[in-house]
Amino acid sequence: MKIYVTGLGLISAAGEDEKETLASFESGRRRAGLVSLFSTQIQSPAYEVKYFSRHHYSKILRTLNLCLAATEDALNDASLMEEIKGKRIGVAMGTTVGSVLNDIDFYREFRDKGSAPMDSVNLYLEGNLSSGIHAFLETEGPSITVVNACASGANAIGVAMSWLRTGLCDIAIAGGADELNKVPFCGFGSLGILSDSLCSPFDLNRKGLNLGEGAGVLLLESEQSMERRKKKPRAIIRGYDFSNDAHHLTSPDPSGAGLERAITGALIDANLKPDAISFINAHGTATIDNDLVEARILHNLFGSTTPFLSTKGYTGHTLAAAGALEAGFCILALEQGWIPGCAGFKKLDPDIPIAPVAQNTQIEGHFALSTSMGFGGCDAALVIEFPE
Amino acid sequence: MKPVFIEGIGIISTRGRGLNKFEQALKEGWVEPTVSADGRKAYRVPKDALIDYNILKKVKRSDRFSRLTVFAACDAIHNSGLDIADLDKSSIGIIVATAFGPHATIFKVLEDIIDYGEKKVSPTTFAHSIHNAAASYVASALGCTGPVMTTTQFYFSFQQALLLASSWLNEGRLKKVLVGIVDECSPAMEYICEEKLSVAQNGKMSPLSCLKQPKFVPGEGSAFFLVSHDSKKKKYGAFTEIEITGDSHGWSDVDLSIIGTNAMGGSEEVYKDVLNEGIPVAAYSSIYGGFMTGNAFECVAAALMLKNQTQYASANVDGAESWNVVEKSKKRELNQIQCISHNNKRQLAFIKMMK
Repeated sequence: MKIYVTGLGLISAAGEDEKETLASFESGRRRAGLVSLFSTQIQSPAYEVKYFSRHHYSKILRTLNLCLAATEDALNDASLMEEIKGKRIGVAMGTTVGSVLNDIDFYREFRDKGSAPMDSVNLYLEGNLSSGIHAFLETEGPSITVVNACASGANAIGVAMSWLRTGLCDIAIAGGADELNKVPFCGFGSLGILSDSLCSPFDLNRKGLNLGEGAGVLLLESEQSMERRKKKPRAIIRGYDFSNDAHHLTSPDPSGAGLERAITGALIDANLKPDAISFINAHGTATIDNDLVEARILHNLFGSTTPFLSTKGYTGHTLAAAGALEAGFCILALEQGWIPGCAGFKKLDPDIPIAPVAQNTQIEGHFALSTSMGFGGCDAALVIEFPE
Repeated sequence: MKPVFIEGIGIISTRGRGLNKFEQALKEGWVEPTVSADGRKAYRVPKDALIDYNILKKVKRSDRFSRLTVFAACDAIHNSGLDIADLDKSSIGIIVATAFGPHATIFKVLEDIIDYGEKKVSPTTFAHSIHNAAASYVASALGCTGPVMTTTQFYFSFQQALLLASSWLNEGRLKKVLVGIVDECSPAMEYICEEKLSVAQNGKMSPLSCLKQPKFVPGEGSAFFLVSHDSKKKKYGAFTEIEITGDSHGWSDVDLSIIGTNAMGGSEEVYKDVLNEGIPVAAYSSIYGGFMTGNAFECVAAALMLKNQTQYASANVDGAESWNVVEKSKKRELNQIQCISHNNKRQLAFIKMMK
């Protein structure tokens, strides 16, 4: 069953809206720099949403703020903002930071004095993404916050597809959001996978990832709902699948079997063969392991002619937002007829059998693949169609 | 909703690991909660419940949260009679629902930052602090390569997870789903409960009194259900309906209503609007304590009652004079049971189960 995308909301360091994002892609602009949101001794560039101007949701977590702003954009894009009441709308959102009580000052004070103010706890309790959106929009329908690490955004879209396909709702708001936060910044640093310079996905000299922040939200609808509302789709989610490596908490299975299963499953779900895919937006974090495993699997399945890229060089790794943002970027690319160059890529790693596109590249065809991989061995793939 | 049949159950509660211990707790009723060194009362899982070297050798470095998850998930498979070695490992999905995730491990990461500095966080601790680490361990322990998902919400987390499991089965995506919950206590979380809720100083929750400000004792544990659409594999009845909307009033054709208490949802007076005087009502949260995902425990209790055709007495009937309360355990014909819970917006969620 096809699921239709009728609205998009994309916020990242690449841009606070589609126009700004496309301008970054077109010019190769990379808006990364020293962290300004919190003090840190760790030297790694970060991709902050620096000019985030919508502060009307001020007394909430930054992650929920980003998510609500992207949701608002998606609803406006779908002409649905004023029509929500009475509709069966599900909310599936992915996050990592938004799900944890990780306020250092709260914990330090509790530990040292045995008591601490509840302000950060209250913010956390109001900060669950799907519940927050559910409450803010007063929607009626299923609601789930997915915490599948860096695959959460793609998985949330998959959850929404399951709901729509089984009739639990007619419309779904799906995606992911994460803010740049000190605790994961330190955590990724401890794993030795943060780069001290701008990230370079699939490059010989890649040194790791840069963290970013943002929110990606897709407004998904069943065919009946879309026809009832007389809306035209911007895209169709043709296929989805996900799998687990059952291998390691933080490292991908070197064989890539889990990712291969997810991609193959998504293609079967879409009823397509690999050669139908016009381009691939790879997870491409720029860590040694991720890029090696992912590129090998893409080569196995698609050969060396299907263009692919990672957009992490424009956004940083936005964790749970990544899968949803990148699904959105696929839609923009299908609409525009070109994909941006893989920012940061210069020289091919001899262990990697295929090279991403280094320059902005025209594409032909109607289908894109977006892949996501996450800690805990999560692998997800989405097949996206540009409607005729 | 197409019935979702229960093939196996695994549960770890304050009374220990396994269905037998949980059933024994239902028979015995309320007992005093444990008291920590700092004097806080809570229904904590005993240490010996999380020692099993057959499982631990597969998840050697796991934290307590992951062990709670893995043990209950493996027990659900074992309880179904399936041999892990014989599982079709790509056709089983795993959904782990939690309210607060591995927060005790997250606090350990914060301790590293506070005590040793930003650059000295333990990578192992950080890896375990990520919400889906526990589900990943379940997948590794069972060798499951199908979809694995962790979800988090403060209210109706189990109901939403169950609804998703039902969707996956309906889609034909999977043959079986291992769906469950996990949440744990920690000193910081117990402090938060004390600050934000009204802790029962006598250690007795009184869920049937439907108070404006419910008395609360924190609890913890994990519970997993192996479910499928295969009626022949049914061992404990089935989930037949799930409603999570603001305007639902549940069902009048059930033989028993079980209400849940987590106290974080505020006033329990909302139950008064839906409890039918003709239908007996029971509550068991005073046995295992209150926690946001504890509704799964009520479903385990319901599954046991449907299987055994026995209703268990409510654990504490204080303040429940006006209700048709189950005061005594006895054999009784039970065909359908509904489990009810509420959130902080006075909305209710219902799960209907049948024999």
